[in-house]
Amino acid sequence: MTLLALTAFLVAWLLGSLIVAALGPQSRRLRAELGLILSLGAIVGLGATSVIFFGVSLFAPQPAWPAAAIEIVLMVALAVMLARRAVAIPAVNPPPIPATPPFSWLHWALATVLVQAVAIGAVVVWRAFRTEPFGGWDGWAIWNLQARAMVRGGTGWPELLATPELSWTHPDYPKLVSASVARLWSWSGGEPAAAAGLVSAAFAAAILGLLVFTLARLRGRTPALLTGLLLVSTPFFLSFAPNQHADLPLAACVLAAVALGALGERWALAGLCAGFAAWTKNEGLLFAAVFALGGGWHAWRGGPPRALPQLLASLALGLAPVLWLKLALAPPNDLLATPLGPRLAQLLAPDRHRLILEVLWRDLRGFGEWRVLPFLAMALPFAAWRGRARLVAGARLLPLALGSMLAGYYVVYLLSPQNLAWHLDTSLVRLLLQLWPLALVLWGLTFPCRELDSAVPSTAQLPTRLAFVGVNTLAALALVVVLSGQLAANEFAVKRDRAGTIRVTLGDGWHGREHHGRDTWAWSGGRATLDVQTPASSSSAPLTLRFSLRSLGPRTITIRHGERVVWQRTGPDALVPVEITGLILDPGRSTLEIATDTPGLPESPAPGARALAFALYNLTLP
Amino acid sequence: MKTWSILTALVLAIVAMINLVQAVRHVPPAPVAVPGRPPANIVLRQELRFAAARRALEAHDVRGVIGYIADLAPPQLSADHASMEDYFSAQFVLTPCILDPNNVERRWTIANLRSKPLAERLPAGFRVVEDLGGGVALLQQGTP
Repeated sequence: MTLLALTAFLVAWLLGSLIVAALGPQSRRLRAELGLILSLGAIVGLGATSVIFFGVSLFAPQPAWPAAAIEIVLMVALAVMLARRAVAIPAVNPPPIPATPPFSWLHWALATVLVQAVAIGAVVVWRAFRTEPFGGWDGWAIWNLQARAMVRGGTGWPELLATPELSWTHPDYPKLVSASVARLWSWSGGEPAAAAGLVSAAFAAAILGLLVFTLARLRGRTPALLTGLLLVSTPFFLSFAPNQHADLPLAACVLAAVALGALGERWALAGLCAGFAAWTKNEGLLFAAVFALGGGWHAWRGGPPRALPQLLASLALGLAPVLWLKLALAPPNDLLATPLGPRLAQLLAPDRHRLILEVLWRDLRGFGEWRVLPFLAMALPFAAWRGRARLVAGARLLPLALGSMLAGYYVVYLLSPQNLAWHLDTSLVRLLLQLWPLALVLWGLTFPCRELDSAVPSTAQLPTRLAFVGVNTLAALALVVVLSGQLAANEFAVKRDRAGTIRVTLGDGWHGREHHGRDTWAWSGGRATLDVQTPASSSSAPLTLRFSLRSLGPRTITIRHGERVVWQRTGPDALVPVEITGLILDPGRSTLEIATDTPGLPESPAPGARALAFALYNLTLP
Repeated sequence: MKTWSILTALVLAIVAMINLVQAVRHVPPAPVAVPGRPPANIVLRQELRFAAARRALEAHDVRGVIGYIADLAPPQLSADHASMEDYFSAQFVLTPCILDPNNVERRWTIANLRSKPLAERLPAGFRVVEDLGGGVALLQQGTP
């Protein structure tokens, strides 16, 4: 990623943080709110800069610098406003410093576990990004393709995307993600995949920060730290974080709006975030409607007199770009393009209800890709039922938003013109992931542990804090080093010594690497290759390969290095040990071919089943 | 109450760690690059495969909708997952040109052939402007 793309991201983050600080209560200390401000700042900043870039890109063929000029003017204005406020307020009304209970040993322990979990999570996020640098299918086929159209298509990009041949890219989809990526690419002058990955991962990180700091304010440190831990230990959340879909950005905007509503302040910012939710994904339009009603009700009943007008005005501001896109620039949505009338009967079709509920039940258990479902552990605290917290004021927005969004998704599935099974299979887990942070905040808010404290910095002494930072940094580095020893997705064995690294990777003809317990293997349909990479300095050293070979059905298996047969066996089904010694390989890549004289057998009677001939197990380089 | 809180926190931390280990096992390090072999990721492969085609389209100032020819004819193409992935990812690389797999009666066409020879799939009235290797070629309708 270029320095300019990173700068573009930092500018967005700074602008967002300034907006959040400017729209925050004047009596609060910035330092006490820093975690919340920075988390919200990433979301608001990417949202605001995407709107500016989108608007400018419709008129300027090179939108990066005109958009940057607007952003810088906004930043300067906000910084001046905040500086004036900081000078003026203490003289008139010095804010009280809330008393903060010190960190208990439980807090330190949980914070340590969370920090180490974040370190492991960061490794997983990095790996997922490196595996798919331009994201998963929707990432490159929809969001990044649209970003490319914005960068490469000049001011005519809306017409380009509206071409019927590109209808499969869903040109009506809101543009927060695509415009954010296009903005970073425009600044950089190239199209680095890392810029798109950064936007995607930033939203995931913002969700974590927002969740922890909101709960710390509302409910205390223990629920905040535990909830953060539950989020970071959701494997699907981690692998999806750099995947460049719009689901986590949507989750971030939704969480931001609801969290601000629950905090009962910054209603203008809450409305803006709800508008940005609609600017992120079509599901966000549903959320904006829900929030206008639910959030509006709470702002009216519980907020200051100007809360409701502020919320509605900022919501309208956030909705403006998506309404402009939908009404003036984009073709109709594919789900709405077909007449609704005939589909209304689908609302009463029992088969559709049954299928949706079946898939919902399946995906509720599996969407997180957990090894151990966390739900039972999450229910444990509620054994102390009398200690549970009751939701008050704006916190009631959480069940309202969750329930309304689920109900809305249910109706959309009922009315879907697509093949319902396909539609559910390709989208439901992502919708559940969108709502998972909200559900976690709801859990944290009702956590039966009365230890309200505020998010101001702990009263722990400096040496304790330094020890915490030092120990956690060392532990995190050690974890990263340990994890770096794991075999890559196409590696079978690695040997490192002073001469360099010898690496055996899967070549052609394998069905992919599999593992269970301590066993690692790969199946082939009948002809496959192994690539052996050797460093220049080990060119003359003979190499030994040790592994097991399993054949399916009677067959002859031959292993060749070039024209030379280095191993051969004829026999029935068996798992036989193989040792190939004295291999002299040229520096660089050499290829071993493994072939059999009999075609592979189908793995199962199912159509499309894999043909299996032999499998290679547990290869080592002694 | 406090003991129960500590116990539940401990259980939650253990469950979280087990799930993190699952995440680490489930997402191994990205495939290592092997000299002479294409990248494992479909998009990176296509970026390499169509880099010359993109340059050729720019050099000939080709814009807008162009034809797209694959090994399969349009009706079979749309039913074949691998071929559609090939087409979608080619579109990702060649944006802002728009690939039309259903109508090759365009002035310009990109051929993306994996198994069939170009001569077999070359539409009548088209000539090869640039053979870009590996089954990728830029075609133009009409005579030079």
